[in-house]
Amino acid sequence: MPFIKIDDHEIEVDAGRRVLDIATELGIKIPHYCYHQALSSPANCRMCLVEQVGAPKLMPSCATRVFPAPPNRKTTIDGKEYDAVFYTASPVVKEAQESIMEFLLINHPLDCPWCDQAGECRLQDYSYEYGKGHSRYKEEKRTFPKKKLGPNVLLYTNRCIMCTRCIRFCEEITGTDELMVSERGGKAQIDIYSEDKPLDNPLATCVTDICPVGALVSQDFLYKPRVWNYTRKESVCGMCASNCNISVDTKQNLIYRIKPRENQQVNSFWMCDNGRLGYNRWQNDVDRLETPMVRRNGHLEPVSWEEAYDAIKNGLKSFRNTEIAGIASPYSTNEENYLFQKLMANAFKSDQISYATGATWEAWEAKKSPFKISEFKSPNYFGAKDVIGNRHKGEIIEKISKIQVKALYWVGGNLDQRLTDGERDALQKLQFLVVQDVWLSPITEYANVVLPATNYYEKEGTFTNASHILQWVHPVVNLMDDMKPEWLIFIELAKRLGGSLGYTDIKNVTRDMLANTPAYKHIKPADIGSQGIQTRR
Amino acid sequence: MQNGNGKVPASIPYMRSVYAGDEAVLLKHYNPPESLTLKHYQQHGGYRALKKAFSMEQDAVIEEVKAANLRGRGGAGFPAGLKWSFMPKESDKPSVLVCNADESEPGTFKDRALMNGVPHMLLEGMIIAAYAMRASLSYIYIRGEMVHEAQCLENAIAEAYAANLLGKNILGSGYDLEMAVHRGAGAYICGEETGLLESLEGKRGWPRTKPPFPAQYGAFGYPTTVNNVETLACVPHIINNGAAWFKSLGPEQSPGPKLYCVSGHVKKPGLYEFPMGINMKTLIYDHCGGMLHDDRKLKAVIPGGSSVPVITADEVDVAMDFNSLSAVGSMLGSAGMIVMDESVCMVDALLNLEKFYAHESCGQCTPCREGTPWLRKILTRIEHGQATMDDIDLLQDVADKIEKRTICPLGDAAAWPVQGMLKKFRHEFEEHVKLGRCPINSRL
Ligand SMILES: Cc1cc2nc3c(=O)[nH]c(=O)nc-3n(C[C@H](O)[C@H](O)[C@H](O)COP(=O)(O)O)c2cc1C
Ligand code: SF4
Ligand code: SF4
Ligand code: SF4
Ligand code: FES
Repeated sequence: MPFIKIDDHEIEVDAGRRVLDIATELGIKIPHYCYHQALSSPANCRMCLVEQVGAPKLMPSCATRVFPAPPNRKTTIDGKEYDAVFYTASPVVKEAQESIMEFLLINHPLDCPWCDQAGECRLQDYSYEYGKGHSRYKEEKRTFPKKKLGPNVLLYTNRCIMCTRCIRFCEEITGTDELMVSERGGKAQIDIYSEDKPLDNPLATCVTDICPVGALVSQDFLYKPRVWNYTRKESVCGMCASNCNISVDTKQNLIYRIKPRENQQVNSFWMCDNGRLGYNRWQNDVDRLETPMVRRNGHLEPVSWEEAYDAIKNGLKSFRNTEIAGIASPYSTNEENYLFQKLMANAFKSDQISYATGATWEAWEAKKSPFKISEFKSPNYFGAKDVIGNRHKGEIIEKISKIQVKALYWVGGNLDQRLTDGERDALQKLQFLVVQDVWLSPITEYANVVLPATNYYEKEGTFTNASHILQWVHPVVNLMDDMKPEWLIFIELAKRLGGSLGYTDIKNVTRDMLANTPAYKHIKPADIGSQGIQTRR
Repeated sequence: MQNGNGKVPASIPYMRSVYAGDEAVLLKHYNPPESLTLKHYQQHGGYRALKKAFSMEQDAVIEEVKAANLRGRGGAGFPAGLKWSFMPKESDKPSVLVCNADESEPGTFKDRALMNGVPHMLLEGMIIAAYAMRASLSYIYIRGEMVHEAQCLENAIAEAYAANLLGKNILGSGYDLEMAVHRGAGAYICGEETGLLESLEGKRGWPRTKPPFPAQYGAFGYPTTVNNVETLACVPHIINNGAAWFKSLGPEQSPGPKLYCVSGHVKKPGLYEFPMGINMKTLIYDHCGGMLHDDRKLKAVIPGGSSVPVITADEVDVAMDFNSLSAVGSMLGSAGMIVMDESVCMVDALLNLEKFYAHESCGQCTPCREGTPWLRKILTRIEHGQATMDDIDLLQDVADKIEKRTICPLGDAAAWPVQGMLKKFRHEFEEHVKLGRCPINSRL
């Protein structure tokens, strides 16, 4: 193992590691633009130059790897022998950083006041830390037109520093190869190869995350309030069973932007555009159910929670327990499904519970990295299977058709709920139907009682993804006034029906859910952590 | 050697004058179109060296080239034998030899003469080099504009295949080698060896960061050596005549026959062959007929292609080899010698060069992409009398900040002429500022 020195740190490291990575781990900050951990290192920005003792010039720390030096090529400092010695903040290094900043800024438009990146821009940050503060450039700045690279991504060409992260993303992660450089020298600019092949692969907007400056911007986020005005919360995406880690920027209980959060086991640094932009549908297009409803004279009418609970109690009274069944949801958390199961068992004495599959469509896999968009468009299909047991809703539908089951509690959550003809026929035969859903759907048409359900931006608990990794889900927005978290609905309803589940809040539910789910029983809540835990051993 | 024989090939539009005496080695039999043929080459001893090489161990060939101290003629003067020894002796991937025939350095026109005059000499050198390095693939990457030369090479390769000098089991030696010509699209940067490799792979000619070096990771990821045309053309002569003979031509530190490209204000510009180390003054005044206009004095010479620092008239009594020119703060480079008389404005000359670098910068790395157009813009202002004294310092500083901080040496190549001019001719820059105009160029 090479023994090296970086500034005042002496360290033994694995051969072949990059100086920049080693320094970062040691807490030494080396400014850099073009290097990104998930991508190759062309060393083109030259911002990360460091001094290597004995080298004829400054070395790019992002592309310089350390190896054991042959005996005659060791570096001796103060009588001590090293395989390599680096200085990251010596006068020459500082002077180089200053000059790179000057070069990068001579043609930069300096339009920070209306740039979407302002506040999270490396050019801004580094100018402050490593720059000179004034420019010696007296010439006219070069200007380029701005371009729409694809449906979701704009290029403010003048702001680009040609780090090529975006190109490498399309080459090395998605493998879709939409981006290239056109022209050369000072005229070089990012572009698409052809109008026929715009930047619209499923991960396209990720280029705006990795662009170190404000050149690539998300059409969705364009000119929204300045970034420092937001509250940022962390959770996981619920738009498919991949459960990408996200951070969500909100203001006044509205979501303004969702960005991926690093989780090397789950989504690396990425997320898909569907997941990123999906919140718009919830905020703009969906007429959410906000209060409980009860069917009176053929119409669903808003009622209070008390009235709704009573309607359920009265409606189910006359059935034998074998005539009552439940369908749990792949849109619910593991905790919600666990409580639902308990509710069915304790209050209705029914063990007839199954799960629905939720929406599915074609999966998509990145060509050059393990990133995958799951074919399951619900967040917790795999968790539902683990918690409920391998019992699909088909069994129950069949029993309803045969009029063996007469009353049903269906937890929905699917924005694109569809029913098969068989399911419609079955639902028509039901004598009593409780539906918990996010909006009026094909199932609520048959409902006697409807309870408003929550979506994955509002939930608290855990999801289990397609790779069986169980992760925390946190609410990023507050529920609307009359709504209740679904775990609370189950607790209150059980109590009303005389079969208390023994919980007053959600804290202990996770613990018991884990302990009582065969696939999870070896896991403690504290094991889950910020990166989740693999449930399969 | 007397002034050359001035052979003027009728069929080749751009090769005005090739001067090579009877003692010449590389251009001795330069006489296109006859000298293009395999028959002509063989009549003058061609492919004898190849047979000799096949009778030697591969490593012995490398040792011979090392002993001859053949230094790369592409510009940097890196010892060829040493470079070849970096190639793996055993590899699960094929090894590759690439001949760099991109020749686009302003003032340089030597490789094209070898290609349009004696292409089989290059081919023989390549086959020997490839054999020594155990390469099974070889390419000639030729500048796109050189259409005629590419055709000469294609013909020569076809002849060589037909004569079993290429292909399988060459001359019964058991050694296989394929060879192909790859035409570039006309970018200076594709002469830089890693830019060349990218271009050869069909990509944009963006130089790679080194390490890894081509011998570890070259064309298509295979171990690769890149050598200049003239370097490779020397190889058959070393094998035929031995390292000792080669070293006896010119100074021991940089020996061998050498092609000098002379352009500018001399009476007989052209391509000259001499043993390495010819005195520059002798070359200009004895061989090139002296200054073009008898009433104008010599002012400056750029000795090694546009990238190298300029030297003044007082410094021309110097041997033209790698070490001697380094000693006066310049370089032999590509031996593209640009002679300038007193009618030339040094600011304008430098502006002309910097326009070239700004235009040819690939745009990949920050200092060169941003710095070269900046140099051009500052120089434009100085030349047009719109600059201050501070701008001269700024010019120097920008060049200093490009140098040594880029991915490839094009950045350095843009910086060195600025540094050289300011060192030797700073007073001319100051004069422009003081007068508010160019003192020489009347058109301004
Ligand atoms: C910008 C640039 C352009 C170059 N152009 C050429 C060229 O046209 N021909 C050439 O042989 N070498 C050129 N070189 C040098 C090559 O990178 C390389 O060093 C050379 O081909 C090695 O061959 P040699 O060792 O035989 O000299 C260039 C270098 C740079 C930096
Ligand atoms: S658009 Fe952004 S990511 Fe792409 S090269 Fe320019 S600065 Fe880099
Ligand atoms: S892949 Fe799935 S979890 Fe990830 S962002 Fe897209 S929809 Fe969300
Ligand atoms: S120095 Fe210039 S030519 Fe070389 S890689 Fe950098 S930008 Fe390209
Ligand atoms: S981060 Fe190292 S050169 Fe760009």
